[in-house]
Amino acid sequence: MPAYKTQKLAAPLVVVAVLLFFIQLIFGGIAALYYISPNALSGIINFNLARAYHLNGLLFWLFSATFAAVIYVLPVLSGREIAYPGLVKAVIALLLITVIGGFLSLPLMQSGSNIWGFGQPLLYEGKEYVELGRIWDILVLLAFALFSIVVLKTLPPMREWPLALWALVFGAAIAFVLYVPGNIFFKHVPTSEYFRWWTVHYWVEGALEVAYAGAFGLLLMVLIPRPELKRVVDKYIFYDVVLAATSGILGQGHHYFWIGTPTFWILVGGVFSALEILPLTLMAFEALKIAKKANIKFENIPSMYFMVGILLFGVVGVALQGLVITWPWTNWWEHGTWVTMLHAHECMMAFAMGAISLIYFATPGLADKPIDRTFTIWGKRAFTLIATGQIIMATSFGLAGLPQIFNFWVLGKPWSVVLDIRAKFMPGVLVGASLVFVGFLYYAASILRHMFFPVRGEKYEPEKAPPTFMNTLRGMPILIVLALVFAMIGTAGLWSFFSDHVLVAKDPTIPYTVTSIGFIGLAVLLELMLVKFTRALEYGYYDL
Amino acid sequence: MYVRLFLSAMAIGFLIAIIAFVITARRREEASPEEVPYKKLGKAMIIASILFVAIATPLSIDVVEPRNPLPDQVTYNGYTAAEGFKVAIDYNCMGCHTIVGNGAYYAPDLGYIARRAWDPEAIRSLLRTFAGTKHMPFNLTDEEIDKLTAWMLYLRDLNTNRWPPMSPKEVVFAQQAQQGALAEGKQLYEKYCASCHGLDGSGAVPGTPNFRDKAWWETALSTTGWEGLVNVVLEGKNGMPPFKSVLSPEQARTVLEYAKSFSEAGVKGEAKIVGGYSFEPSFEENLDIWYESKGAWVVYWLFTTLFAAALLYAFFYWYARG
Repeated sequence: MPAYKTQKLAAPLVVVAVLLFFIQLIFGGIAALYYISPNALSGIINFNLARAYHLNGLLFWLFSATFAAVIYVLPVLSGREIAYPGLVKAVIALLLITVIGGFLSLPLMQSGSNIWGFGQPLLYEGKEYVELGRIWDILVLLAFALFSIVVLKTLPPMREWPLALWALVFGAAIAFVLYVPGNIFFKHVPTSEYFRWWTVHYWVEGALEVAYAGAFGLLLMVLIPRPELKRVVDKYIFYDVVLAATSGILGQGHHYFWIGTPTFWILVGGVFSALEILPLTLMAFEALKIAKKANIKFENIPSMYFMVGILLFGVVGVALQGLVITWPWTNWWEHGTWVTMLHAHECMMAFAMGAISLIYFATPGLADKPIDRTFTIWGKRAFTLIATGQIIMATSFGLAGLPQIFNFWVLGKPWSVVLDIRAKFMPGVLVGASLVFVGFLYYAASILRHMFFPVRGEKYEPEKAPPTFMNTLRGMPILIVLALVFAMIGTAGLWSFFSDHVLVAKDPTIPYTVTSIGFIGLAVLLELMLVKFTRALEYGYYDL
Repeated sequence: MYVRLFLSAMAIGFLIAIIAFVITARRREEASPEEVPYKKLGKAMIIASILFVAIATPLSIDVVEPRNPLPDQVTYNGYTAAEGFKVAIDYNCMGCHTIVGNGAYYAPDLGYIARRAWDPEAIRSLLRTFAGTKHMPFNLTDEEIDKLTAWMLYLRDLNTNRWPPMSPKEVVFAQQAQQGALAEGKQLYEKYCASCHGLDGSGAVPGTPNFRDKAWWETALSTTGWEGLVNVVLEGKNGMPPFKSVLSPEQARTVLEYAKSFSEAGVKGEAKIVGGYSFEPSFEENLDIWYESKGAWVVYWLFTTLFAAALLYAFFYWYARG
C-alpha cells in the first residue's frame, strides 16, 4: 500500500531489471560455453558479442533498479507526490528505447558494419563496459537529464537536505557528468583508456559508493526515525564521502600503470588504491555500530539480507580482493589475466546486491501486497545461492589465473596452452554459475509472484535460534582482521612471481600455493561472515 | 628502488598521521559530540585530489610532450594507426582480446602479440592467418588488415612502462641503419675504426673513449664541436693515426655520426631490449621527460606522503571519535 500514487511508476522498471538480469546471466553462460567448446557458437554469437550483452545487461539492470528505487523513495523523502509524473513515464520509455535499440545494434559488430558520424561510432563501440554507440549514449544522457529535473523539482529546497541526501544527489550528479568522457571516441589508445576509466571506475568507486552510502543512510533514516541515528548516519556519510572521494579519485591511478600513461601513476595510484580499503572498512565497522544502535526487527528480511551482501562483498570483494591486485608489483603479473576477473565479479556483485536489495525493498509496496512467508523464504534462498555461487565462481577464476600468469607471461607458451589450463577450472566456474542461476530463479520468482499473482499473506515467523557463534555477530572484528591477513598472504603470493624460483628455476609452486591460500581463505571468510551477519540481524542478536 | 619509494611514502605518511593524532588529542576530547570533525581538512583533501587529477590529465593523455607514438604518425602501407583503431572499434577486438591489458581475457593481449611478432609483415601475416577462421570469424578486407597492422605497430611501440611481462627480446635496429644514411658510416667505421674502437663502439684498445657514453659525446661536442672531432679523425690525436689519406672531411663526419649513434640506445645501429620481468627499468628510461624526471619525482613523493598522512589521520580521528 504505497502512501503515494506516483510510487507505482517504479513497477515497470522493476520488471525490466529482472528481465535484463536474466539476459546478463544467459550471455554469461554463452561466454562460459566458449571455454568448454570454443567452436560451437563461433560465427553465430561470437564471444565478444556475448560479452557485450553480459556487461550491458548488467549495467542497464542496475540503472533500471536504481531509477526504480529513486522513484519509489522520492515521494517518501519529500513528503509529496512526484512532480511531472508524465516526464517520469517519458524517462522510462527513453530507457526502454535505449536498451532495445542499443541491444539490437550490438550484433552488427559481427560484420563490422558500424556507422560513423562526427568522428564518432554511432551504433555501437568496441570498448568494454561502454559498448553502446553515440545515439544510445545521447538517449541515456537525455533520460538522466529529464530525471534529474523531476528529482530536483520534487525534493524539498536544498537548505533542508540532510547530509545523506546531499551524498546521494551529489554522487548521482557525478555519475551523470562522468558518463560523458568515457564514451567519447579518442583515436589515441592511452587517451581513450584514460577517460574510459573515468566512467567505469568513478561510477563504481566514487559516484556509486558515495550515492549508495547516501541511499542507505536515507533508507535507514526512513526506516528508523530516531534523532541519535540521524547523527550517526550523518557523520558516517561525511567520513565516507571524504575518504571515498579522495582515495577514490587518486586510487583511480591503479588503472594507469600500464596503459601508456606516465610512470608517476605507479606511485600515486599504488599508494592511494592501497589506502582505498579505509573507507570500506570504515563502512563495515560503522554498519556494525549502526546495527547495534538501531536494534530493530527487520520486516523485509530479503532486502536486509542483500544489504548485508553489499557491505561484505564491499569489504572482501571490492576492498580486500582489490588490495591483493592493486600493488604495482602484484598488478604487474595479474593485469590482463583471469585473476582480475575474481575481483571484477565480486565487485560487481556488491553493486548487484545493492540493486536487488532496493528491488526487494520496493516490491511489497509496489505490488500493494504484504510481505509473506514465501517472499521471505525465496528471498533468503536467492541470497544464499547467489552469494555462494558467485564466491565459488569468482574464486575459480582467480585460481585459474595463476597458471595463466606462469605459462603465458613467464614461460611464453602459446595461447592454446592457456586455454587448455583454464578449461580445467571450468567445473568450479560452472558449479558457481549454476548456483547463481538457481538463485536468480528464486529471486525472479519471488518478485514476479508478488507483482502478478495473488498473495495470501501468510506471516513469516523466524524459527527460534540459539545465540551460537554462527547466529551472532560475535568475533566479527577478528574475522575482518583475519580477512586482511589473508589478503596480505594473497599479495605475497602474487609478489613471489618475481622470485628466482619462478623466473630462473621455472618452478611456480610458491606463488601457486601461497596465492591459493589467500584466495580460498578470503572466500571462506566471506561466506562465513555473510552467514553470521545475516542471521544475527534476522534473529536480533546485535551484541558483538 | 620503486618499492622503496612506495613503502617510504606509506611509512612516513603513517608516522606523520600518528604524530598529528597525538598532538591533537586534547582538542579532540574537548570537541562536542555533535560536531562533525575535521570538516576543513576533508574539504581541503577533496580539492587537492581534484587538483592533482586536473594537472595530471594533460600529462597523461600526451597533450604535453608525448611519451607515446601518436596514432597519426604510425603508418603501414599508407594507412595510419588511427584508421586501424576505428576498424578495431567496429569489430570490437576488445571483446575477446585485451588492449594494454584491458578488455576480455578470451584471447591474448594485442600489444603482447605485436611485441612478440615485432616485424610489420609478421603482424600482417598473423592477421591474415586468423581472420575468417573459427578463432576470429571476421571477413576482413585487405585494406582493413593493413589498417589493423598499422594499429598493432602503434600498440607495439606504446610506452606501457614495460608491461606485459615477457622474456627479454633483443630487437636489432642495425637493419634500419643499413637502409638509412648511416649505411656508409657503418661500412667505413667497420673498415677503419672498429679494430681499435670496437665493433660496438665501447673501445677495444685501452685509452679509446667509450662511444656508447652519452655524456662523453655531450662534452666533446660542447667543447670542440663537430669540426674539432672531424679534425681529430683527419689529423690523428695521441695514439690515433691520421686518416686524411683515406677519408674526406664529409666521410669523417659520416663515420662520427655513426659512432655517435651507439650512445643513442635503441635508435640507430644498436640492439634494443624490450620486455623483461620488471617495470623498474621504465623509471630510468623515462627520466628525460620533464614530468618524469628526478625533480618531478620528488614532488610526487612529497604529495603522496602528505596526502597519505592526511587520509590516515582522518581515519584515526574517526576511529577515536566514532
